[in-house]
Amino acid sequence: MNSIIFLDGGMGTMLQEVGLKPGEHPEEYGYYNPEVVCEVHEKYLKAGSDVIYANTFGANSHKLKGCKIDTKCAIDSAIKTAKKAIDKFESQNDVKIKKRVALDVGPIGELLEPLGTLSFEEAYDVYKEVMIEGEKAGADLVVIETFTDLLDAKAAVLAAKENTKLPVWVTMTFEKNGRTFTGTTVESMALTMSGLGVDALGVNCSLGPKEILKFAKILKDWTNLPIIIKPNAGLPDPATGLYDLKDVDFAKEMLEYIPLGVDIMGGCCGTNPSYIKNLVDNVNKSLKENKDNHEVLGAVEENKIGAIKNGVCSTTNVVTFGGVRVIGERLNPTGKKRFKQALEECDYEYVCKVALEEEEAGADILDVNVGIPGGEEIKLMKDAIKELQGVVSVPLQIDSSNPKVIEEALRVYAGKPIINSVSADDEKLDAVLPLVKKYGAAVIGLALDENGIPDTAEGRFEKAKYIYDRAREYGIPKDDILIDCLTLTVSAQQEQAVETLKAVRMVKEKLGLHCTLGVSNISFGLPARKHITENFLIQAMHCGLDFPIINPNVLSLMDAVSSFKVLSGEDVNCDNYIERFTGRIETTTVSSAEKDKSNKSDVSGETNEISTSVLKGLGEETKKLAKELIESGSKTEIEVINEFLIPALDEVGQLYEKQKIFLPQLINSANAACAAFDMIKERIANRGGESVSKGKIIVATVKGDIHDIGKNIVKVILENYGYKIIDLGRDVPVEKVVDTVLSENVTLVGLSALMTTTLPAMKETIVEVKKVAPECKIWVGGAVLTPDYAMEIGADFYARDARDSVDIAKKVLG
Amino acid sequence: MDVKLISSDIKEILRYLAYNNQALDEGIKQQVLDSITRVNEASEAKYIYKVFEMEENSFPKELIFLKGDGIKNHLKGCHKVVLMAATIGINVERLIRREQIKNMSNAVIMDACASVLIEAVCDTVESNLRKEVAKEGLFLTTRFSPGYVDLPIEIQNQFCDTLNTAKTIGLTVSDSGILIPRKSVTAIMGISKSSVKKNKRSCNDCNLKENCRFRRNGVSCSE
Repeated sequence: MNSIIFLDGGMGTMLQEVGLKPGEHPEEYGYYNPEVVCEVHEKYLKAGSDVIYANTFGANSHKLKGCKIDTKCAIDSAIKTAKKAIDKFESQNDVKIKKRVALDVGPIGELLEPLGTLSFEEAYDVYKEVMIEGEKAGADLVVIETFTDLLDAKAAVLAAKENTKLPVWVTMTFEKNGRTFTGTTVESMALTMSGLGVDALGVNCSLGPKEILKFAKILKDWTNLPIIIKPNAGLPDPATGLYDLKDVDFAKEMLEYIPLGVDIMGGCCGTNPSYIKNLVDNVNKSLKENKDNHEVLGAVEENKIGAIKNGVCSTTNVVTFGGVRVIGERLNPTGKKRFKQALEECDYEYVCKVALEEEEAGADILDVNVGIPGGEEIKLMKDAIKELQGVVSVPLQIDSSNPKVIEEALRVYAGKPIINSVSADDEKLDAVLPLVKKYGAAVIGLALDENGIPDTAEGRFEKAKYIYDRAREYGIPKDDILIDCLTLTVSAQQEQAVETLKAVRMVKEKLGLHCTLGVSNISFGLPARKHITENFLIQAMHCGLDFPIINPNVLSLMDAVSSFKVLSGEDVNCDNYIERFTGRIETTTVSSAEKDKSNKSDVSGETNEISTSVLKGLGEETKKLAKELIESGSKTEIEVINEFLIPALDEVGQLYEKQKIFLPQLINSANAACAAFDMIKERIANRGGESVSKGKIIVATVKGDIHDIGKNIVKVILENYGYKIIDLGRDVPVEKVVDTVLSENVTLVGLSALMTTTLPAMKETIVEVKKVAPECKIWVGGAVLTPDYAMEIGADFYARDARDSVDIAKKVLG
Repeated sequence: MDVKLISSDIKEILRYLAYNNQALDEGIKQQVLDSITRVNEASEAKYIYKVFEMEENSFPKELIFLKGDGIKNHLKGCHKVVLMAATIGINVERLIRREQIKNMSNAVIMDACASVLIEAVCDTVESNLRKEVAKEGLFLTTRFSPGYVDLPIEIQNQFCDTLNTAKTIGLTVSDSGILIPRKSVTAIMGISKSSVKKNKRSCNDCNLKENCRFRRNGVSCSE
């Protein structure tokens, strides 16, 4: 075992002792009191620190807003101060290994989209400046620390690696439950950061050595990289803020990390030079005493390297490789008119809805394909990834053949994704594989090349082997390579089904690679497709298919996977199988009971049945009744909308106004009507007819504001009146509203804001829209608005609730 | 601290939904109960507070961002000021976002549940602290938050920096001064040697008074 690298301890703690006030910027303090900071550094060097963190934790343009110094100033001064301390120390002491200065990079402190308002690109730019100035000032390495958001940390790592030549270390901060405040797990950090090629990673702050120990063990399971542990001096007293571990005890607890093979140690909040001195002395003493013993342990560590776990992950969820993992296929416009329409309209809510259904049906990973004719694939993919990762927790698979699309998606993805796909052509391989390596993704290789799909299993195996060899040349780990042996339609090329299965078996047995297949394609053109699909799926899994790409909403397919896992031994003790199917029996019983109940209520309802079911908020019922009316030929789709659904909604609206029902009931009714609307929209889309829109309306929550629930209620209600809603989302820039008004030729815009601080943005949006489209009407709503103020900022209407919005829309658009 | 909603919180949750004694069928009652369960599961209440010494009518240097007469009045006669921040965590935020896509009415109810829960968290912190100071024979005022009377909401940034909330409880402030996670509260309390009158929150001090959806329905946002 090599020796351990020692870091320093708390800087903030030390500065507070000599006069730094809470809320005051340590960088500004350091700029005006360099000698104080220098003295702290010197104390740590004397205590035995090999690497000292410069006083640059909050030295970025966002944090320094309102300070007298800028980023460059702060970093320059802090690095110089640290270097001065080292020079002084080295001139007075005999130093074997040169001491190093780390550019300490803390988070910006604002949450990234979609939960916050800071974009990945803005964050990247902020960190980029920090990294460039840090290298210029002479830092020896970059330490990205105390991060709680994986995507934020990724922005910082990319900024460091793309703009400097410095080594990059990353440590994140976890709570007792093994997650950061934003939900990032230790495993996700390990997978994502190892993939990005950082030089060391670990944990700092948040907890004491005892609590962090279990995280270090997890890290060892998931990465081969050197591990950094920089804990607090125990846990703080919530009232006093003082930490409960003494220096001696801190050092004693840190000894536990030696047998684990932790390489880099230091202290965070509450620690001071005395903690570090104790740490250095104790650890060195222990290393010396147990030298022989550790050599044995070292050998054990070597053996463990092959056993590192692998998988893909989102920020909150890791899918471990080893066993069958279902990839959901439904986020794909091919053959799906409704999905295609959603992409054309940038309706990401629909995309998210489909994704949530897949996730709930049990998909482990979701394939994302946004390729539509004439669509801006880069923008669509980037936006879809950003939106999706805000709502679904399973990892994503980026499905595109365009390397530019792949790279943009890789940048903004918070986790380790799969890339789908690359074929065995050198041109493609040389474009895609470097991206896979740089961003640390897994990749699907298609067993074909520019000459097409080989007819034989052997031919496809050759292509797979070629991709494997090329991927290894690029340094992509074997376990991150998946091969797609290609499913051909059995009704067209019957003999090919067997070849595909054979190729899967060869790739699995001879190359030991993971296998994926777009399973559903097998049954195209046949009646009762699900039987063939299911049968092929089972045979393919038997041959070694471990990443089937299927529709997880087809129950029989998911059942087949569940059953397969029992027989393969993956589902230990059949636990998951039992859970799945025990639940099944219960559901069947309940749903049939429900059916009985709703049938009974049908009989009792003599008046307009649709209006009753809308009022009661019964979605399935409303849909069923509407469908019956259309299919019996007694009413057209449009008639159902105008004669039944809208009057029913009007009735509900009046009840709401009279306070006979309250908000959740109003929305339940809107949801019920929505189920019928969706059915009608789908029918019309399927026969290629004109949409049933009564006019287009833009809704948006203004720039800076993220309180969008009110806007979303308005959207749900208005949609059911047959208006086409263009939902621009929340935190919407003024230009985006203006551009959409022009490009979509919209005459009615609804804006919402909940904060007094974001009202100016609302006013600005109104002014700018009116400048380019004076005839466009604007209505506004939100808790802090009043009718008077709405007029004052130039709005045409004020809506106190969703119901008012309907009247306004009727007035403007009819 | 593990504060959760209980079924008797329904009344308060309904109040947030501007409920005004409409007939409730079993379906909607169950919907609220389910929402309570799911918000409880997703929530991770965290809080932090710090006590500062103060002179009558004058704040220490690090708190000069506390502006306006409202907070001065609130802290009249106090020799210490407490800054607190609390949140129920980002998971609830995620839950509500997901639910907005799946079922808007669930989302609206969960949003109300989350509002009630964060208030409950703050009430717990406050009453614990009140018990603590009472041991020393001292008195604690009620909570006063940025946005009340004339204390500007724009101070959230400095407020949260002072408590280092991003690091300690995962509470961040957006560029436009919005607390994220949304269901979070910052508040100020005073500690006094003499008994303080219980400043009940009143509509008169509220910025939303003119257009309050509660008042319009003849109810109020707090008891």
